[in-house]
Amino acid sequence: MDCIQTIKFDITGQICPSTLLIALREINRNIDDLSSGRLRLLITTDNRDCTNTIPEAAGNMGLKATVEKIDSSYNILVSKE
Amino acid sequence: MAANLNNDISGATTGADEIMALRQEVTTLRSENRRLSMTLNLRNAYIRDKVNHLLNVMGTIPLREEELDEESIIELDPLGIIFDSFRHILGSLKTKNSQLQLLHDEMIAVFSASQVGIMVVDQEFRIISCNRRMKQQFFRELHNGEILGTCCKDIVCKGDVDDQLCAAKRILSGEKVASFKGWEVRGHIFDVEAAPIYDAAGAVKRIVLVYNEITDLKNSQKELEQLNVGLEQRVAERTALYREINKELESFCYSISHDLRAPLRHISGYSAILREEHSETLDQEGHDLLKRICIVGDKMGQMIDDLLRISRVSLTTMNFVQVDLSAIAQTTATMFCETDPARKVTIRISPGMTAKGDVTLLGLVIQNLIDNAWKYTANTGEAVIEVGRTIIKGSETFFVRDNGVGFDMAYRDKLFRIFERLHGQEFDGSGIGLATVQRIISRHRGEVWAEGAVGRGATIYFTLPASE
Repeated sequence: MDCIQTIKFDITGQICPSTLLIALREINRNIDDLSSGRLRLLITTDNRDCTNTIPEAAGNMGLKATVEKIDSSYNILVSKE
Repeated sequence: MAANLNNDISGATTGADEIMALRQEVTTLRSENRRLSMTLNLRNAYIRDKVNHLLNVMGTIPLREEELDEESIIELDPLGIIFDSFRHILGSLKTKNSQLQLLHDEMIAVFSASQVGIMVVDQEFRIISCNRRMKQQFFRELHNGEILGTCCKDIVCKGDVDDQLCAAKRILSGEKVASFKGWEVRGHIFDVEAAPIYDAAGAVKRIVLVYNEITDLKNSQKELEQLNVGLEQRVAERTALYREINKELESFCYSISHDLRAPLRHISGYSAILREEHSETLDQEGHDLLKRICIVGDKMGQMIDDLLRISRVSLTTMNFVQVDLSAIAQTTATMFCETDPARKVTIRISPGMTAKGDVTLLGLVIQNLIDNAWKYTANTGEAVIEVGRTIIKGSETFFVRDNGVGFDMAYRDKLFRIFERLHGQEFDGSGIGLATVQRIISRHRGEVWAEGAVGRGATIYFTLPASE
């Protein structure tokens, strides 16, 4: 069984639009592995705005993004649709 | 000396010119620098504006001033990031478009090939699209231009249908699915189903209506119903005829049996006179023949009595009441035990067995079945007879079971025939018991059947539908 790798990014403290740009930069860099399902991105942020913008952008790229709130932060997991 | 002075003067002039020239150049360069700075600032402003536009498209706020100085632009490269993102988004949209196109093509193929009429209307009931079958059913003579955009009321129901039976209206009033069975319009009958298509805000944008014509089916059903009525009538007439014939046969059988008794009585009487008054004139062979005549006469008398009994079973008028079968079985079992106290037979009777029927005839059924079980367990060491109730194929079924000699299932049909016996003279009986049981159960519209195996006992089952 293939193992799915997960890359974690902690961008706590960053605010929009930098959070979105950084997330997009990492998605762009790994788009092939993300699309094939070999890789997932776990983005930790405390910026509430990007819990909408990142999943929407990921969805438009044919990916899936789930948001989970943990204490005062959000975990956004970007993976294959 | 003079030459040196000239040289000095000349050198001073040249230096001043150079300074002037340098000053001029500096002025020019400064001017160029201002122009370039202005151009750069304009370009930066342009880039900032475009980046902010794109960020707005991505759903986020503009970059702040401090995030877009020259160094940040190179370091963060927002244009590059957004460019790559849009490239990926376009790629994904292209793939999705292809999938949607395929889905659309499939839907169009299904839509066109469907053998039910399908129509899509907007909130004003204007026809947006319809398939070939829909045109055939409702507006065969119209062209697409005359159909699309036309209110469906004008060319489908044409006002012939009550508003309460308008499926599209039901959907607009908030129903998720509207369905009408046997919807009639101008001599045609349909099953109609309608479902909404919602817009992003959740309002009804379109209504899909499906018309499945069942006119032929309904007509066939009506014909079939009429045929069934006719058939039932014929069956009832035949049944009445057969009952009448059967009754006549039973009456005939009763009459014959009754009439046969008189000549038989004469034969027995003359035989008795012959034995008593002419005994001395008969030789040994004559005595033997006379004895045989008496035996077969008695046998014939027994058979006539049996025939009369079974005829009475068929001719008796039935009086349906609630019958306690457990109590009848108990009384019958006690009678057998008292009549033959030497026998050790375990008799188990389920309590609470009741059924609707004629109490006399059902008493005969129980009596005959226990009589059979009692008879065929005569040679069984630990005889057990069970009278009980079970459910078979969903119907309440009564049974009498024994562990006696049993029978071969190959001959199970012979069990119920009159005067048919599966066993020899070792067991008493004339073969009338189970035939009587079958007639009584048949008169109660029930069924009777037997199960068993040689040496492993027998079970007689019967149902009484009037109880259910």
